[in-house]
Amino acid sequence: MNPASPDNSQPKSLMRPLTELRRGDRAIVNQTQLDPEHVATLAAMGLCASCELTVCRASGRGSPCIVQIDATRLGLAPEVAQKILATVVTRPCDCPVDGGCARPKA
Amino acid sequence: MPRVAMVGNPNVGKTSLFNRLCGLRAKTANFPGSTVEAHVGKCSLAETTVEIVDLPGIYAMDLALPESKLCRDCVSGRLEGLEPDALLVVVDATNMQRGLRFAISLASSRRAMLLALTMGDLAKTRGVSVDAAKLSLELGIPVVIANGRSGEGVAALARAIADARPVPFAHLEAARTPGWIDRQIEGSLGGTNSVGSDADSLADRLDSAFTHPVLGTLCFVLLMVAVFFAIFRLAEWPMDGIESAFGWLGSMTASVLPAGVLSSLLVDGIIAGVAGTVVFLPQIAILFFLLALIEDTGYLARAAFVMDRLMCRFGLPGTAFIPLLSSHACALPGIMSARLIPDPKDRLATILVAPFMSCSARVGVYVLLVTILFPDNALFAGLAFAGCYALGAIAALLTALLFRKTFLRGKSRPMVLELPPYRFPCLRTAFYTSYDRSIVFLKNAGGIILAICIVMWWISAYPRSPIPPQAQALIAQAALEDASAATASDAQLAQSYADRRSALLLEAELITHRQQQQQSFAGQLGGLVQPVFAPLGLDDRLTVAVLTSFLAREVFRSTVTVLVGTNDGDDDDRVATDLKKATRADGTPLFDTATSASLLVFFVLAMQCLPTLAVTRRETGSWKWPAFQLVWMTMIAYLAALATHAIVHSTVAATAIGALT
Repeated sequence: MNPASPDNSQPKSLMRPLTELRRGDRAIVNQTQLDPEHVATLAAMGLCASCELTVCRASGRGSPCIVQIDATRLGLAPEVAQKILATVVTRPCDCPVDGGCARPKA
Repeated sequence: MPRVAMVGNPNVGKTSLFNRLCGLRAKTANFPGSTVEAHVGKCSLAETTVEIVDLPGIYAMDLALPESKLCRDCVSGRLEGLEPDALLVVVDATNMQRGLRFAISLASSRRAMLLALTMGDLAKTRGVSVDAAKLSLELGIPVVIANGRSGEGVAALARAIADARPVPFAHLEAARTPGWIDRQIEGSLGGTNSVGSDADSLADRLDSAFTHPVLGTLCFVLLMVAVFFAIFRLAEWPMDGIESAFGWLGSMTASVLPAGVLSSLLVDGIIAGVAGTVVFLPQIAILFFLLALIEDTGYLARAAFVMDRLMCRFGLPGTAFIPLLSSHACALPGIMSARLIPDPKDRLATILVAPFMSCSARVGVYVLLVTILFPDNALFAGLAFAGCYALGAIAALLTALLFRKTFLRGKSRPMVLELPPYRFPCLRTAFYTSYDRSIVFLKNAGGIILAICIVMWWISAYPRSPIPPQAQALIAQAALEDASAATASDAQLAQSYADRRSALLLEAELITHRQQQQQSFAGQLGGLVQPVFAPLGLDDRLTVAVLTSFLAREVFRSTVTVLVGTNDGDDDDRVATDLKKATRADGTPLFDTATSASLLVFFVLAMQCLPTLAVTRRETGSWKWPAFQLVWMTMIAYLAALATHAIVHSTVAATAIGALT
């Protein structure tokens, strides 16, 4: 898939910016609202539309969001993570604590 | 000689592999107008020697980044003198998906290729085995598992270079079909734990700590304090050694050569000038060794996020923190370490403001002026000293903000960094990095800095002035004392004659030196521009001292003691006391409070270091930026010193009037 072309297979209501995802969430990237140059760089690093990622560290106040795609671990500044929309595929638990936790679902 | 270009993604162990293949027989290659560099080395094989070009790590060939452009130009043969005969594609065995995609994109160039799979040890710990032979069959090119850190497989890789060939068309067509990479990974890899599983909870915990706003900042500050403490402590001995060695070389040269122009050029110009720069070599070597170790652990990428929050308020990226902090030791390694910053505008802004940070060369001037200002108040002296550091840092950050809002306006590359896996650092890689940076620095010192030293020596030494009559009289008197010493009846008397003779000769030398300073081109220039510095409270002697300190700040102290006529020495209090007693032509103190304060502010903010300008030129690829840096910093320093003089002068006057009334 062209990294710049959005994956619209998911209803928009399910898409969330990466900043809203919790630690341990597995999600599919739907689209990135960054300029083409940054989209191309991210794609080359492994983050492109339709790729699956795992949130290793939820984005906090001013702190980066850390995601893992295959074996690549990427740190994304909050303003970048805010512009990447993804749909959560699996969530490890329903813990409502801010930032989530990695405890497996019972 | 066959040439092989090494290409690969960042953090795949390419440089470790290059160091193993080439060792110390490598040099850094720069390209005009770009700070991106490649390393070129030679690797001896059984029958031949191969030249290896280590290109910068990139994520894709077609990105609009300077590193990608360099790789594109090299692979396509557009880089003069660096056209490769074969490509050595380095792929991380724990990240085959991305690595193979990159390798296939390179196969289209039709260059001969071979693949090196690195990080095999890490892959093994993750329960992954790699079948290199199967992958080699599928791609139709040699595939070798090699580890640059341990050296395992490196000999086999070197031998395989001779078998490099273009990926056959049939294989390339197959490789371009969807799902081919996934099939290769499934077929070539096996084990219990798939790569990229989220079982790495230790890395998660460390990442959370190191990127935490409070804990992460604390870790970073503590680490940097430790690094700078180590630099100052460890560099102390070799720096003393270098100073002594150059001092000995100068004395030897002066004793061997007859007194004259050649001796003066060699001793006062070349040896003294180069010594003033090379003395910082230990700091540079240690800084880059420690930074390479820290970077190799994978920590530096995390630290960049922590500092990004603070630095972005001033238009700088988090990675700018290290160059700015390094500049507290010396601006030269600070500016050189700005290569860590990927965005060209961010990098340029950092280079331009780095010399504002108070370097160790300024400390001597700070101590002298603060002691003159607050001779009996240690608290105020301490606060003034700390204030100098704070003023420099504030000026740097505000200047960066201004530049980023004006002529360096533009979107910074958003902070997106790959976080490499945590690993034990490789001493070998750190050593090679430090060695490489040190060689670059020494070449710089031997080139442009040497030329600048010669020019500065010439304007300080010419036109030659004759020995003034006052000094001649002292020399004659010293000769008489010498004769008296020879005929003295007892040893004590002879010693007192000898001491008196030495004092007279020293006085004569001081007078001669002072006249030479005043009548040289630099001195004449000082007289000419004195009206410009008069509003800062500087007379012609202080103006000459400030002008000569544009060569290097540390010469201010020696120049001013010569011009004012006091003896230089290691005792700061004594020198400060002597200077405080010095008067102007009208009998008022030379170092009054307003003048001392304005001089202090001027020295905090002014660009008075020619080696720094030379390094800025080298890193920016143009004389435009060091010229701008010099003009900007001097202008800011002048205006700030002018304001300081006016404020302090009026405050002192108001206090005096208040005391009288």
